[in-house]
Amino acid sequence: MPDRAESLPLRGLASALGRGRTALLRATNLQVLAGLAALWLVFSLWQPGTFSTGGNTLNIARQGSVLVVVALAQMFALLIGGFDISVGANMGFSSVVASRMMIEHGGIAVGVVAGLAVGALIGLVNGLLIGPLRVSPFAATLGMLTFLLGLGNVLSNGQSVGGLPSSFGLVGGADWDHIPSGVVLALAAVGLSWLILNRSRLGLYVYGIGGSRSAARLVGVRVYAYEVAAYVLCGLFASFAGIMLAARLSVGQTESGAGYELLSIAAAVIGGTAIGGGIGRISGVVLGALFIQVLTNGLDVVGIGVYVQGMVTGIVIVLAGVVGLMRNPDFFVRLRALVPSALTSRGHLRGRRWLGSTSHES
Amino acid sequence: MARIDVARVIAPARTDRAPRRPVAGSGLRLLPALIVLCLVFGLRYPSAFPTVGNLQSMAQVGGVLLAVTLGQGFALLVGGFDLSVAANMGFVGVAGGDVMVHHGLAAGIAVGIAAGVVIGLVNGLLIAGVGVSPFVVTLGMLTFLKAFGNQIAHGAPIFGFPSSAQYLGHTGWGPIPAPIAIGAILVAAMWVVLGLLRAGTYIYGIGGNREACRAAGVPVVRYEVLAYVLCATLASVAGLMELSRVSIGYVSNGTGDDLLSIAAAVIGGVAIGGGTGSIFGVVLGVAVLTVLTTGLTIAGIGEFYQDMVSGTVIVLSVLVSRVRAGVLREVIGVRGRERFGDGLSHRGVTTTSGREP
Amino acid sequence: MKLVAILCAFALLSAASVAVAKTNGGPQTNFHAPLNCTTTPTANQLLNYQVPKAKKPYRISLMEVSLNGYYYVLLAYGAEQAAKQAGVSLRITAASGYTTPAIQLSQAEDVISKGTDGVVFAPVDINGSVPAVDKFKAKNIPVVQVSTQVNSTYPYTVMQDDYLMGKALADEMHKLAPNGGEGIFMAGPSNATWSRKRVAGFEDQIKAKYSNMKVVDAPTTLVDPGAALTKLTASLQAHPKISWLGSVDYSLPVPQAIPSPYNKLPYATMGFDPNTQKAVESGFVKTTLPTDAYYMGYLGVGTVVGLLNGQKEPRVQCTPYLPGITKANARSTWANKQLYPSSFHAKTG
Repeated sequence: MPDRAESLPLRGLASALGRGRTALLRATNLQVLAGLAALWLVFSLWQPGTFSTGGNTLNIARQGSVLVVVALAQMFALLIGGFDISVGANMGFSSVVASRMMIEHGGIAVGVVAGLAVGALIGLVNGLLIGPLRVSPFAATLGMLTFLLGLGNVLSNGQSVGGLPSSFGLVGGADWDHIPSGVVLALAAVGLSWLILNRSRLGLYVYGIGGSRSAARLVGVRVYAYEVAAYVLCGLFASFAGIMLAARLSVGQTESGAGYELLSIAAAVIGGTAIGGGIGRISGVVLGALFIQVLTNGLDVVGIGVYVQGMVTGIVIVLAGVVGLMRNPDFFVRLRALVPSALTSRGHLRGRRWLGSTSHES
Repeated sequence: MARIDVARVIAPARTDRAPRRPVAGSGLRLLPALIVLCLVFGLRYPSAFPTVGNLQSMAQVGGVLLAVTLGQGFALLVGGFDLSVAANMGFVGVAGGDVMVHHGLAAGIAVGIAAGVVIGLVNGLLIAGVGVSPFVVTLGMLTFLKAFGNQIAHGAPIFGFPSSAQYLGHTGWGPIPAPIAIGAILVAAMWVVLGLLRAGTYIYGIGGNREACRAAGVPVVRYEVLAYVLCATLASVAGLMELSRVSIGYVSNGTGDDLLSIAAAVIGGVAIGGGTGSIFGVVLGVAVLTVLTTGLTIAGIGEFYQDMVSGTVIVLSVLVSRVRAGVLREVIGVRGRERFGDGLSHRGVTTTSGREP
Repeated sequence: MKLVAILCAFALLSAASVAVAKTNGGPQTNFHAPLNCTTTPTANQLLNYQVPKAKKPYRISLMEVSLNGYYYVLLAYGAEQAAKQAGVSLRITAASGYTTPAIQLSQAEDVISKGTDGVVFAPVDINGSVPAVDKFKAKNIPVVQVSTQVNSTYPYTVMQDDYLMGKALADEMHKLAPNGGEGIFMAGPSNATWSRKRVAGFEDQIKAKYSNMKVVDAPTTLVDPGAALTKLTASLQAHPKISWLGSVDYSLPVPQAIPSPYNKLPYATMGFDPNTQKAVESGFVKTTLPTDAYYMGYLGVGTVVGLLNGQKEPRVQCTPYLPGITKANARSTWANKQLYPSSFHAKTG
């Protein structure tokens, strides 16, 4: 296997703690930007009067702001080498807690703080399970997801929590001087995550641990602590997204985040965040989220039937993944090698039991 | 050692875990749990739980889940997973069902299984061949299938199956409910594949250490694709069973079985990340989950609390397996063997996620 | 140290969960009340209703909860028929189910920016769909809510009275099982107002008038025939000696799937589709109360057109659920108005 000079580096601790190859990532962002521009062009030409209007753009911004925040949440989990499929349930659960606290214990502030606190707590539990206790992220966050759906419904009697103070809607649902409030909140989240990831030691170590956990541990980084921290941040941002959604809808609902767990991972992956950790930029994640939002909105606006929309979205997601791979030059080498090896019977070793034998159930 | 392409995910955080011990008995550890559960429910609800009727109804539901989980087990064993199994079941319910209504049972079954094979091929080639992460591929596939199924059905139900279709899931084969009979056949077949055929060895090997297999000349791509094909085909069979059990073809058939199958497999000892797991474990995992949910329903526990219990069970079962692997010792800080990575001491080669320098 | 930290966190979370779970609070809706109907057309009146001709080619939007299901497609069919007869254009949007008010809100914004004159609106969530209605209200776009309610006084209403339907079903059940006995009543999702109202009506009527009947279980389930069947079979294990079966919905479970010998029991449900028609004719279902999805669309569009024309329309129109559909009238005009031709394909746009 040739030593791939172009491949994402892991030689030496400095590289491990670095943010990946900057040039490569900038290229990634350009790709997503290009994709985004292409989408915009296609939809604008298709429905000139309705797609590229100011009103529709504001709609996209409004709708996309929640996805941006939850994609940022997911980014933290992805960067540290895991992922979190409970973000959707977290969103819903936090919205229910925030809503109920807001109504029953007086005040938007109390509700928001409670919602965020709960989100951080969820992240804490996830982090503890995944970090020190070494439960796989899938199992841990799947368990959390199921648990939260149940508890959230218990707290809300299975219904949506309405009757929220009307000023709450102003926070997340209305327009502040023509700019949707959700956009402002999303920008704040982007800013905060930028500070954390690029200007704090926490961010440095998150990238480092994601890059190479063992290398980081060798250097003396307290890996467990930072893993937990990453998931706490994930939970916090997810609950923030949930509260934003509740403000937009003026309702807290346990299932309101359904679908966001997969969409957030898709947005992050499209934006260049690597599953496996260590690579990813905030700009990429934002672009990825916008890409998905523009695609969804555009398909709606041009009037593509809802079933076909689903088919197109599915294909686009896979294509985005393939394009992501093309960023690695070795991809084409492997692709070429794929054809012959799939056709020949090269490499059969008869009668040899494999390394798998240690884990092979007899 | 060069870094492996990160984008080709085997499994995200399959990093520095304790090296996999021989897992004879990883499935067995569930047996006491199953027995305890049965005892608890049986004693508490003696007239409802330990009855032949209940056994049959649990077997009916569990049989379908067993088929899906067997399939999911293959995807997990090679280090990936398949989120599209539920959409697969629904799609087969609609497409296979439609063919069944108009062209008979055999044609319907053939089309259903063929659909599964195609889906599995697409998944497998994209994941193993091209190298896209299983998450992205199966998410895309699931979105596509749901929409495509709706497109075919146009929102209407598929019904009017030939009466022979009831033997796929609705009626018993004698006293044995059809799903469990079919499930047993599938279990036997898959046991043969995993235990006796070379393919099984390779599948375990690929999950255990993909790069080592490739270095040794195993046609990794082919067997990984095979694993995904088996996964999707088993899901399609489950879809046909569900279609018969529910007596209708809806795109929503099988809802929830994507996560449930992964949960059952994980509970049954199939490790996310690959290489570990057994058919017996899968069967036990499905049994535990089915007994648990049935018992809770009989107990009148609301579905919200059931969700909370399920979530906790999933996490606990994985925790328990970690304890067995000695992680608890490591966590408490007993400095036994200082591990630097994912079993470097055991294998001396890079792990499949290739994080180590 | 680590272990202590972990245990503390878990203890904290468990304590918090228990504390919160024990609080009595959260949303309480009164499901035991009928609608405040302005008019209650009978089946015959509905069959004779014609939509008014539009004075101008209005652009009407139909916003559905989903298009995955016979009910929704039938609603769209009714709306399209009305649009054709009235001479207006119709555009359909569909969210992704009862848990996606965010999508419906986005679609409302899209619909407004594309331009619409009147909206037939099937709310996704009684509270969560309020912002969408408010957007239309802000632009003075008339809204007719159909199928289920939203917590707003702005829209006109065309829908079935779920509470009274529940009561009527209890009456039908009593006719089918005059000797009474215990029975299971399959409920729908626990967060679906329509389902809770139907259950409330059913149980209230049983308590009030049929003391020889008893509902031993009313398991909730998602609107998924598979899940419903699983729930029913588990419930049957717990309550094997029942004399009747009821359900809020024709697919919960699919009648042909009910395990024997329980499929010989009298089974009454609500709603209709081609499979239910077959089930009624083969005796799996004795009675089903129709839900008039066609008329949600048809009458909904008609009401919007009337409003746009400047006519006065009744504020709340409660669609009929009687006569129930039995073997005798399974192919009548009334029953056929609960179906759409198999060649019809609803299209969003």
